[in-house]
Amino acid sequence: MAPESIKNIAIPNLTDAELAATFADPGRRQAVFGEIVSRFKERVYNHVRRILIDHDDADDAAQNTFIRVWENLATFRGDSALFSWIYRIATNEALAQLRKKRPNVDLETASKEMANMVDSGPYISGDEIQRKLQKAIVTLPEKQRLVFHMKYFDELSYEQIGEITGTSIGALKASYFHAVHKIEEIIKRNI
Amino acid sequence: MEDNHDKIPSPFETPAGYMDGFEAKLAARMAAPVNRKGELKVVHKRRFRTEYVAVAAAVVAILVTAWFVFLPKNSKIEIAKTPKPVKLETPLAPTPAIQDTVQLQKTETAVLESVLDEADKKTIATAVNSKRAQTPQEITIAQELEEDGLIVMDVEDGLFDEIEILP
Repeated sequence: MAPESIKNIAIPNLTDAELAATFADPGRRQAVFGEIVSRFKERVYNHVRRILIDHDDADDAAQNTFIRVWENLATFRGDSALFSWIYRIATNEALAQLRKKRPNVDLETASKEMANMVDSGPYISGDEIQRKLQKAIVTLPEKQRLVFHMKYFDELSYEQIGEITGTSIGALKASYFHAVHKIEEIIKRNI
Repeated sequence: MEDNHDKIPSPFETPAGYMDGFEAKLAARMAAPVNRKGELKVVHKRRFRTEYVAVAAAVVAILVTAWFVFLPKNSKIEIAKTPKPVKLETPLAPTPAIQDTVQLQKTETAVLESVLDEADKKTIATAVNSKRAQTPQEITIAQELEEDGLIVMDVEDGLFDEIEILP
């Protein structure tokens, strides 16, 4: 049950940790979940959209993420930040969707397909350099691509990324370093 | 690309009105009739997949037909005569068809047993028996088994009460 100290606090004023604790209160559960969706929907959507490129796929993954949050928040122990926990679920949902769509496709073929989506997919604008960057990113191995997205676009700290991916900070720094250099080489080669 | 460069924004656009309608869409999806994955129920019995039953039935039918077709000459059945009651002095040995069915059942059970290793079985049994809040590890194991189509969880408030081991 939620601690007494936060029972009378309005839900929008609760911190992330207090929100998670308050979810245990059946009378406030729906409101808490609504607040969680409201707080995190945009970040979750943008995160899965960068992985999946396609809006409809990202929409599916985002919805599935929050369904999983609803199903499992009662078991969330607070070992990590609520945001990290939700982000991890979103990442897994997006990757599962990616693998489901392209189960037996090698990285090179998948990269080409996704690069084509960057060029021709709906709800994608941006100038040439933005598209070049995205096309370079999709050529990266999955782990490097994820780390790059979270560090460069989401501006998460290595500690946060470590909580989400379960990877050491040293390994994350190496991943990001390699990702940046590969992307720079690809963009320079294509200019 | 490093911090001293201007960040290159993402080219991905959000469709107009998408974020405003997100909660309503999510609520509709959560209220919709659940598919098998979210379904709640279960039983502890083991059932055999209908495909295995169909295959076993087909094997039995083929073997029985073949046995009649290729009957030895001295065993010909004389339709005109009224058959006399036959008293069995020794029990019938299992026919190949019955042996095949039994073998199929054993194979199926063995496959299932091999998938659920001891740690999984103990973890799930403990959670089921105690009905306490399950640990993330138990939830993860159960979810993985559910995703693999091996079990269905009865989930309420994030806890699973019963688990069916599917064929």
